[in-house]
Amino acid sequence: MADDTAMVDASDAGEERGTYQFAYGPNTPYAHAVGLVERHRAAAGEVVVDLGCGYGAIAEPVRDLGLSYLGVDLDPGGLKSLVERGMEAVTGDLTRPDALVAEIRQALGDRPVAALCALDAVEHVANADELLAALSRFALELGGVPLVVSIPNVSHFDLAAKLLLGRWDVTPTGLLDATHVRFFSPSGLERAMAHAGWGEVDADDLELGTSDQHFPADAVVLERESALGALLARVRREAAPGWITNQFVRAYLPRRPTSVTELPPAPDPAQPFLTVLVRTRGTRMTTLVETLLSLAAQTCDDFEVLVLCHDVAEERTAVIRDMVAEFHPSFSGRVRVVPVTGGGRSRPLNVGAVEARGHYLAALDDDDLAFAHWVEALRDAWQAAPGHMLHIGVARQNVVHTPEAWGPEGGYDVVSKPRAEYPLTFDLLSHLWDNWTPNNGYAVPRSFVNDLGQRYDESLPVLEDWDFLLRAASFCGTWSAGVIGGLVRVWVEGENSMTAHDEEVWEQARRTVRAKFDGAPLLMGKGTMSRAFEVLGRLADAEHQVRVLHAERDVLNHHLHNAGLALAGARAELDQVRRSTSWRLTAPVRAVTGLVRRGRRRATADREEHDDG
Amino acid sequence: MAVPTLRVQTVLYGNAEAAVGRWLSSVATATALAREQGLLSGAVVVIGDSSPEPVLPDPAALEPFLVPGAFDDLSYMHYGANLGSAGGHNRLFAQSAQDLVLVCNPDTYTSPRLVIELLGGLEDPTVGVVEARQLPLEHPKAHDPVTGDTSWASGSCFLVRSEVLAATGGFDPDLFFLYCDDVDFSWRVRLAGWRVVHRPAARVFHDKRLTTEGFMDAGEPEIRYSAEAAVLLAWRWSRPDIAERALEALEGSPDARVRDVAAGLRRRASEGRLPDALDPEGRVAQFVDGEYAVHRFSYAD
Repeated sequence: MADDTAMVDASDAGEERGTYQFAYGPNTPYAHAVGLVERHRAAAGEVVVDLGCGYGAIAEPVRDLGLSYLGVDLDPGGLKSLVERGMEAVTGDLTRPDALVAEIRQALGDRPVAALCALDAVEHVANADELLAALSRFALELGGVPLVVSIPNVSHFDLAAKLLLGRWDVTPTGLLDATHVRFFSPSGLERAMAHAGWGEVDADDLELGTSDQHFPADAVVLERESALGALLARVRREAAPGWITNQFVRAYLPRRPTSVTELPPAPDPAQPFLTVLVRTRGTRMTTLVETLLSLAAQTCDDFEVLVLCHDVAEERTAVIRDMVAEFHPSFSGRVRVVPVTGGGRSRPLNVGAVEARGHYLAALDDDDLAFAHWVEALRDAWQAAPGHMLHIGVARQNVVHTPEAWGPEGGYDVVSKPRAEYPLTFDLLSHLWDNWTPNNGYAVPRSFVNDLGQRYDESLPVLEDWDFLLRAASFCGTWSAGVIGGLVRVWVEGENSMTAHDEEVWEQARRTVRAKFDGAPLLMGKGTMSRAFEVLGRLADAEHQVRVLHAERDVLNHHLHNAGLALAGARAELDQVRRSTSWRLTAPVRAVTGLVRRGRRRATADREEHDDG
Repeated sequence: MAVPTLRVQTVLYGNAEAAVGRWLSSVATATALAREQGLLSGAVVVIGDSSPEPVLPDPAALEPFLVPGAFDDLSYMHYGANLGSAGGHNRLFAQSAQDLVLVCNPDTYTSPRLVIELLGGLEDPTVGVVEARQLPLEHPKAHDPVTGDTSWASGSCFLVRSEVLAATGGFDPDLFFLYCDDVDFSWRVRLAGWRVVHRPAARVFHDKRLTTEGFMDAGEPEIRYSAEAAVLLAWRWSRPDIAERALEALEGSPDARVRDVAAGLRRRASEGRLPDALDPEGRVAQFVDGEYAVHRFSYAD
């Protein structure tokens, strides 16, 4: 039993293990399960068979639906309680599926079944796969009746976080009930049910932000506002569904059992190093073929290509398929053309990431080019730094459209040399300020998408690549190949992504991306702090210089002030002299003296002029 | 002209076998596509090898790179001597029985429609040579956006009529070992009355790379032989003034190997072993700011 409501220990009834008596109520797995029964019961059915019923918490609510209830359990206490409440109950052992089904068949007689239920039961059965498979066959025999289950989720964040502390706290009841022998995560449940012959038709899981495993209550990892707790919660939340799901409450219909990959999966020797995602709107066929040509010419062929035709008409997609097929089979055999419908600029990349098979993902736009060693250099970087985001230098070249040239598709002309304007070494700090890495300048581990659940943010109209790149760099760390391997062409006339959107759209997106990173703890890979120290050192030096300059300015102001005072004093004295009687009386003498002095100066000047001549 | 036949040829020097296979797969694809469209009545591929040791000890190893319907024959010839690019190609030209010859560098990868596009350029009988557009680093020389006319065709990938080869004698390996052989050839083609055109839709990937500073990654042989060729080209094309300036620049080089080249050229001049001067009126030769055509941009900026 995984609910965190009260448990009744029935040891006084002579049982060897605890039995459970839980109340039915809103926001309990039982209420959710009954809701699913009501929605999915077989139309002609009359009886709900409750397997591993215990005290039959759903018996009355089922009866309230106008259906009959049949409880099945080994626990006599529960069965006795049901009978006393006027319900039908039979003994049945879930660990012996064939006998169990025979017991139920006999108890049912000719009555049609509305639904099978297994609430908080499957996790107690060691051979749960066998049980589920037998129930699927039985359900088919009954005309395809649904199965409703309630199963605890051991991938709840509280459990995940505590495992990092080395804790696996088995409790008398709850998510880690001491009697549980099988444990299910979202993907584990999906695999088990599909393999047993059940197809999910509905879900009404019980979500509990704080589970019964939320202890010690003050554990830093469980506190989602702490930096570490927030980071871990983010990782778990984004990686896979069910981060706060306490109970999976699901409805299934019997289906043909599927074969599932064994765990751990066997290594795939054909898995390529890289999947290259080429997104196209089908409007730049002139350059798309060149992008493909640059991929076909790679010195390392350990990659596949997905051409993602985003909202491209069928006829145009067919032209692209033909374009691909014209290449040598050694290349075209590694290219898949994938139509993508709807969504924004990043939708095709998200679709491609799911379709990809490579260890890594890289992207090229349909006017980008790769130098011949692009894949080879990325692959070398992967071998040097597995698991990292791989960065490679990109040059930028300006081009203009030449609609009159080349034929119906029009052409273009290159108007500049390729310039190495983007950094050759990735620097996370600089990238927090702005994006300095074009789309074809990096590759991310596919695990970043598959396991960590990271996607391009389709709500961003622009800069979605920057946002994705920053997350990848932060989570994976980075490794720079140290060579220029890609070329981006910038259309310096006409429309490009810079001109297709208002500056305000760019600014808003920039603010959004920065706010996302400011609002969450940020992981910084090894070496980032060196760069931070360098930047902070420069800032500190600059601030010191400002302080020195301020001090010098203060000294100068001080001297200036004193000089001003001295000047004012001298002026006052001079003024006083000028106003004195003796000064006024000697005025004629000064006038004559002045005339004589001016006459001498002129005579001297005339003489010098004469000498020069 | 009836539906023509094609000879595809390249000259190796120390290339990896896998790289040769990659090139072959691309030209085979492009040739097969042209043949499927009925644009060629036959095609062969010939590979010359100037390497000290054969790059392809077993030419049959190339078979996986071929495609059905591309070539009627594949032949490989190890010269046993380094003939250079010009000499190596001329040796292959001499054996050509086909109407057209596609000249390629082995470090290229042709687009599937390359042959079709180049053939389109030869529909005009006044055109003798059609040059492909190189990617990812385009050659910066200019061309007429409508007619495609250009000063010269890069030897990394062009299609030429065999009659043009016959009339001009192909490259001049005595004068140009590795570089400027294509410039000189193109100018002699034009001097003989044919046009040389650039075909932008004929795409060829040429494995050229950039340094970390964004400059063209030129190796030592390229620097040395292109410097020597620049002087020889100016002599050949009646520009002794330019030849002298170029020679003086070589003599002032801090690189001793380049100064050696300059000394050799001086010796050649003093011994009167200068090439015959062509085009004294300057009808076809273009010397523009150290280049042999007007350039749209410069990789040296």
